[in-house]
Amino acid sequence: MTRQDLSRRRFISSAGVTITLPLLPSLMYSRRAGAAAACTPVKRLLTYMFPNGHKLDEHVPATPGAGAAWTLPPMLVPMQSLKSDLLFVSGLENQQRRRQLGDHAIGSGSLFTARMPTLQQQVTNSSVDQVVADAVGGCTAIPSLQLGTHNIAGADQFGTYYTRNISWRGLSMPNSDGTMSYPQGAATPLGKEISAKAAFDHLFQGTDPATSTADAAMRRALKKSVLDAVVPHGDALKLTLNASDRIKVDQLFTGIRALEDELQKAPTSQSCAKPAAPAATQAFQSGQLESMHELMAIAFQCDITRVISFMMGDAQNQRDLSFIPEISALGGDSTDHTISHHMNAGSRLTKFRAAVLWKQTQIASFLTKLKTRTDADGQPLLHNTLVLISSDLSDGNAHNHDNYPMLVAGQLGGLVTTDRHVQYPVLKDYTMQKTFGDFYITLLGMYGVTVKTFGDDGKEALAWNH
Amino acid sequence: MESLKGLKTLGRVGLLLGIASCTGKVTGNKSLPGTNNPSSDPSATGSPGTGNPGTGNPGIGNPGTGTPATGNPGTGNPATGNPATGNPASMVPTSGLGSLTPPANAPTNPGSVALRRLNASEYNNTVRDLLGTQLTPATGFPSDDLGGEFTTVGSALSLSPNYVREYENAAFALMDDLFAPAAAARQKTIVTCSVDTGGDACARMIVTAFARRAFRRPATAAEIDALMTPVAAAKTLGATPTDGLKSALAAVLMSPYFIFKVESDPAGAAGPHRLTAYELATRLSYALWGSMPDDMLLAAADAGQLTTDAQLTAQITRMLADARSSALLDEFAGAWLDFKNVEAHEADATAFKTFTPAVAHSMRLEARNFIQDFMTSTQPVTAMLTANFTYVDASLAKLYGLSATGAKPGVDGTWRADTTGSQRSGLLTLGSLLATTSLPTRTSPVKRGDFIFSRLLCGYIPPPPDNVSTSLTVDASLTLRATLALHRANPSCAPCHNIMDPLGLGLENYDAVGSYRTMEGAVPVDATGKLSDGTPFNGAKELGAALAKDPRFSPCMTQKFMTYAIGRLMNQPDDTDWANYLAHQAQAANGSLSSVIRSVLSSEAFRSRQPAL
Repeated sequence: MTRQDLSRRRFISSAGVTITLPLLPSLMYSRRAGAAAACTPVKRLLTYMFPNGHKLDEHVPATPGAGAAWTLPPMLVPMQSLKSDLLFVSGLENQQRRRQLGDHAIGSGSLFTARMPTLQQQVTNSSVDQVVADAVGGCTAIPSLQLGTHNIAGADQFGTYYTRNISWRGLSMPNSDGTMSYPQGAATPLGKEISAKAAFDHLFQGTDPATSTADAAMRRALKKSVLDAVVPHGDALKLTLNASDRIKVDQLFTGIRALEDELQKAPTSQSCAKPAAPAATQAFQSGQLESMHELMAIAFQCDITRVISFMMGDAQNQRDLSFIPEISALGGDSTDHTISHHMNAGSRLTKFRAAVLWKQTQIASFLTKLKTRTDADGQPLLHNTLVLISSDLSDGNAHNHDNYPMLVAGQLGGLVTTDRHVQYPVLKDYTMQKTFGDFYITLLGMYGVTVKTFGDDGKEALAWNH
Repeated sequence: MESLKGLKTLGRVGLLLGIASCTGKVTGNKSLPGTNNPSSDPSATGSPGTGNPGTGNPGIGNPGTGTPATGNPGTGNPATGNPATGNPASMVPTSGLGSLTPPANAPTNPGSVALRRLNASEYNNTVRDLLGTQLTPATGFPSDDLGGEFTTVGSALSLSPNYVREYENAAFALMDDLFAPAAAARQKTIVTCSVDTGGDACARMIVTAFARRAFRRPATAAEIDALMTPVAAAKTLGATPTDGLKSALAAVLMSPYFIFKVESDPAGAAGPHRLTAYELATRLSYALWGSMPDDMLLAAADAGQLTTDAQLTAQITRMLADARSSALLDEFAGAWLDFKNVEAHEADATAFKTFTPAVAHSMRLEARNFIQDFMTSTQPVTAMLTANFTYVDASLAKLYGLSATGAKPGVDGTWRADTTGSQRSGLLTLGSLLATTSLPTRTSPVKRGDFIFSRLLCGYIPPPPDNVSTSLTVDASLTLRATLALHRANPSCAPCHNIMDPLGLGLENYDAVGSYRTMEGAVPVDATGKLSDGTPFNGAKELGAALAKDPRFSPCMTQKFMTYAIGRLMNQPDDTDWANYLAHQAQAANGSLSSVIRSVLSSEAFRSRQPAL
């Protein structure tokens, strides 16, 4: 019997009723089970997507190497003070050399899954943040957070769940040799919270000092009874449904189990003072983005969660960037996606550079928060964290997924050696090409999850980390 | 084009490019040493029809040809497109809509539908009708994904754990709201006895009555047994009976029977079968009201009086006359014509000072009232394209140059304005449509053309082919029309842009926020064009008149409503026939918007289910 089985049995008995096992074991939160890792040392992961791609020839460092042997490329100049905490990995690819249209959905849909999206269907595999959430999510009050800034992207052929979302929970299967498999199948897009106020409320829920311990315990017990009450409904309903409809109902009960898990934990004693709540409505450039960055730093510092995914904007983001002075000064087109098609010429190229630099400046300010705040072990937060930063496109103008940059920040407690540029060769034969899938095999290993394959074409671990 | 006969539109998929037009310049990523992208191989560029062997031609792939949305996940071949034809002229798929000889008989396959949960607006409307609350908890839920343009499509709607957390928060907040002192009056309609004196029997009676309305059918004894769990728990915990009742009622709102619009197939069913009376009542109420069935509809289901055509027609008539049918305006029409989003549209505040939040709001009201005019009259839907009226308030009247003299504003501040002799003409010149299809700083004839083609004619424009840049090189010396003409000279761009651009250019007399103009900078606007059949037009009025005669418009509208009302993508075998057939049925009545709605809701496509695999 695997530990995951034990976990399921534990839930069943706690529900006080007989329930059928879920159709898809992966759909449940299997934290503290299967791939669970130790809670110390603290290991965090943040996956960060910015929209509409790179100015690739000015975003990839000129030479590989460490320390003085590599320098930041023009588009990363805003990160100069963070160089010693950065690892730039170039020469990887993800998914395709444009076998199919829908560039943005393919980019964002595969960014952290290494899996080609499925047209108009929610079929893929778990994203790496969710695999890591299974491993370390049980250590914190909130297993993982998904944050963003808007929900406006179109389907880009594949579906809005691929362009508005980068976190997926799909199938997970333990193998007899202790490794894990994350095959393609029906998967749940986790969506994202775009209100900093709502995210704040979620992070600091249940910390009302006015409530007495006894009252709080009774409230939790009643809440649990509510969840118990509907479990038999799900069981009975699933018997009457076809397989694909059962998946929808399983999604509901996966969420209900997650609520149950939370209720069974003792209320967390916040080690941090509750900060001031952000305003209920904020403009992206003058509040919302900064609030989200601040909340993510606080969530890590207070150890409320260790896994976050963040979308600075949806794939194919059409936000008006005229708030960037260099862009408004030139007049004319100013929406993010429009200027990404810059043709390497004219004012639009100037605007795209300004847009990319602005985005990197914002990311740098976030990373600086992680670098300047102290973790429980006295190290900077960033030292115990990995931040993976990339986009829904490799090159913004070409709208492709070749030579896809992956910027890594942080050392994950020393497992990753930074201040380096690791470059893999771009090969003619895609079957030999190193990919994001390979990159993620190594990544997951550092969080204690051993996989032999990942995504469509992750075949072997790559030693990018040191 | 036999192979394309089954192509169905998925609405406006993909082409959301800011300037989706090509210059024909190939931008292979040649700056990368060592890159040998098969797609940037010169032999593979320029002619999208000759795509990489074995990969199909993505340019003409039908996004709906994977597995059906409700089919067995994981078995589809996502890369399947139509075989490359090598003929650029064949790049543009036809929808099959508007055939001159519609099917004589109704198609037989109603199609299979994925289990649909309540979307955000349905949740809000449902708790309003169920509890009398003014809370709109779902406004803060994670956003609903789109199926086509709509948030009613089951295959696109999912539930993440965060969504379920919101359900829990909402359930408790709604109960706190119901049991607040201020809610005493409406509380009495649900809490019909005292649990303090009446005990479990009272609680059970309340929960049973509440669950019947919340589940949209009578709950079984076993279901009520389970829902009584919190009542028992409250006793054990020493909580008050009211706390137990509140928790039991919250459980009703957490039940899959509330959250999902549950339908199922009889054991062993292989072919199409009728919905149960309760399932049909639910489909009807969400299609027409975006909310739960009322007592009369549930009573009709109880009594088996939703079976005959006459019974169904009577209910549809009653429900269309009810105020709740405004959901058709806000949710169906608002999504179909995108006026739902006009208040979120960004326009350059410096260039377009007139586009204030108040004006954007007025534009939404304009479009909403314009469609309502068709909902409540017998005008044919095709008249939307030629109508000589619109709805304005003082700010819009000024913007459109219409007289405010003698106007009698309705409660929302707008009035029906005669546009005869003005530059406004029906649907195509609605401010919301013109604004939402523009970029912040300028018009986008490509987006406008795509809108007309995909939303009004249900054509499907594939995204631009591989390695063709979709940006215009903006040359200040050229008009937008001249700039766009450059890309239509390119054979790989022409097939799609020959369709989109002329349609969109026909609206060039309206700027990026919908104001009429005769000059683009220093150059007079040229709004002339030809439809694909050669019909010439000049400006919005003539374009509208030409589109009103296009045989695809009515079936397309019908198909949009089917997508919304049935809650699935129209990509199954009989779907094109259904749209043609039902549009023809509506036409045979009087061709009005309400006849389209009646035609769809009375059909077996709506009343029956095809079991999924």
